[in-house]
Amino acid sequence: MEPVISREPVISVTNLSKTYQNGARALDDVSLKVQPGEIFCLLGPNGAGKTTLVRILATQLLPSAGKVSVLGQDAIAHPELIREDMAIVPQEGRPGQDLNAWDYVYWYLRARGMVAREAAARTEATLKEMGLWEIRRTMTAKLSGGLRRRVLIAMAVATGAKLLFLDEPTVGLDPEARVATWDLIARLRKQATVVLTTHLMDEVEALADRIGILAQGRLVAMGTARELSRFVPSKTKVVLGEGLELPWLAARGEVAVRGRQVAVYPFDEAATREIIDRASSNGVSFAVAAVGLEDVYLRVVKEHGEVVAS
Amino acid sequence: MKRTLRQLWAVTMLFGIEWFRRWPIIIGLAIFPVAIYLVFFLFGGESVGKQVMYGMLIAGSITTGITSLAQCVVFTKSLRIQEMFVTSPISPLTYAFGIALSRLLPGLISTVLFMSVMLAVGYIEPAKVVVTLLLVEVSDILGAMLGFLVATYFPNPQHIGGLAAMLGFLLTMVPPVLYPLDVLPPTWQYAMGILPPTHAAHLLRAFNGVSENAALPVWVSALALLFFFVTSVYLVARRSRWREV
Repeated sequence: MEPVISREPVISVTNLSKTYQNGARALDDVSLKVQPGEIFCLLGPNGAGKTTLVRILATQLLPSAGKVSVLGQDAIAHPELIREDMAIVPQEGRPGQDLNAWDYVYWYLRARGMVAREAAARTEATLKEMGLWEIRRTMTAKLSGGLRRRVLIAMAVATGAKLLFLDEPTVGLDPEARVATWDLIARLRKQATVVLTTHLMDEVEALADRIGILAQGRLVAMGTARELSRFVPSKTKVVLGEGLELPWLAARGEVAVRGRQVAVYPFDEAATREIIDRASSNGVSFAVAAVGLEDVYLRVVKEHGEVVAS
Repeated sequence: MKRTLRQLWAVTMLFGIEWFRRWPIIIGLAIFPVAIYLVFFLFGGESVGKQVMYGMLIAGSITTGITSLAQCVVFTKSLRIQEMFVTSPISPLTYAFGIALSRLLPGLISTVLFMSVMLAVGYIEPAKVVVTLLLVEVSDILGAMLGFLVATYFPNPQHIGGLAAMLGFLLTMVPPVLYPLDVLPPTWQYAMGILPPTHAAHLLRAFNGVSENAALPVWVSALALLFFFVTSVYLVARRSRWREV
């Protein structure tokens, strides 16, 4: 007989709300579940409530209402029961000046209660895996912003925690470092469930098993990238330069003006052909592209009243 | 218990290593009181110099405790490293005491250097070194806890240094720390008893036989210092909460 594999969610949030003492409502009736081994990405504009949600889940902040279960425990009533199995890389967190990568990772593990030998072994393994071994004795003040960020990620990863919260982990990293960090996060899936917040669509596309989009404190969409694509009426879009009348375009598809470009999501194939023909005959530059997560995101967020920079 | 001690030591090391590496600060902290002593010795003679030297032990420890810890707490928070400790098995109290120790240990080196000077000039008897050091460390911990409390009430990194320095100045310049208790009228001696450094300095001088014809009994100072110590531990325990509301 096949063993029954438990798929009890690692995180279960029900009707979660958070209003800060100054009256600002950061989360409004959010409910979601995160399954074991998932990389769950939280997307949303600035101030949408991503960090607030992560901080509540990571037992750093109390909610105003709702239920939060993490790793099978009540995270509001008994945070001490789950902190052993969690680690976080905070948004904009940065190591101080006169310590090196080894100091940070090793002493952080020891502070979490790990014995010296295990802490040293894990520190070595993690620093090697994250490409920090060669610079382990260099003071963090002398490292680039990207490497400093990687030191913080190494601290969290080395814990071997079952649940990792990465709050905008690749902000400020150059493309090469960003991709290296993605590889690492993708590998983490084997050992942990990861909750990741980001603004970067390519990061989400590269990593996410499922995505939650927050806007004005509400979870307005959730699912896989494929499931979320239903929020956009077509599978392709036509991106045009300036020159065609917007009412004429709006009669043939959904129009989104983004700076000096216009993206049109045509209602059908005939409309697509019409738009391309007219653009060609008027000498307007155009490109046909598949609809991506960014299109979904912009549409969903716009629908829920957020001002989004194009 | 073993695990808690291990965690305490780790936090101490994590936030203390950088201070051990900043050895010029440690030496500077030791030289400063000697310089102050020399000034008073030159203008006031040996009896004044001796009073000031004992006073500097208390003043230095309290000021260092307040300023360094307040800054450390606020900057650890503003660098957001603290969040990594909240989402971890460590307790807030262990973290708070670890941070306090991370500042006390480097400070202890300065104190030992300074006390070596006092020993060399014969101001402290070798037999009294341990208890003297203990009293200085109690003042240091008191200062550190005050610094922690200041940081929790005024968590602005731009102002914390100035606020802590002001508090340190008030607590060491106003009460009879750098001057003997008996220069004040008896009523004022008791009034100054509301400030912990008064008792620390009074005890230190009494223990080392530096003459003070004070109205405030030594046992009252001992009890008062114990009261301030326990109260500040209690307040730190109350304020050191991990989870924000």
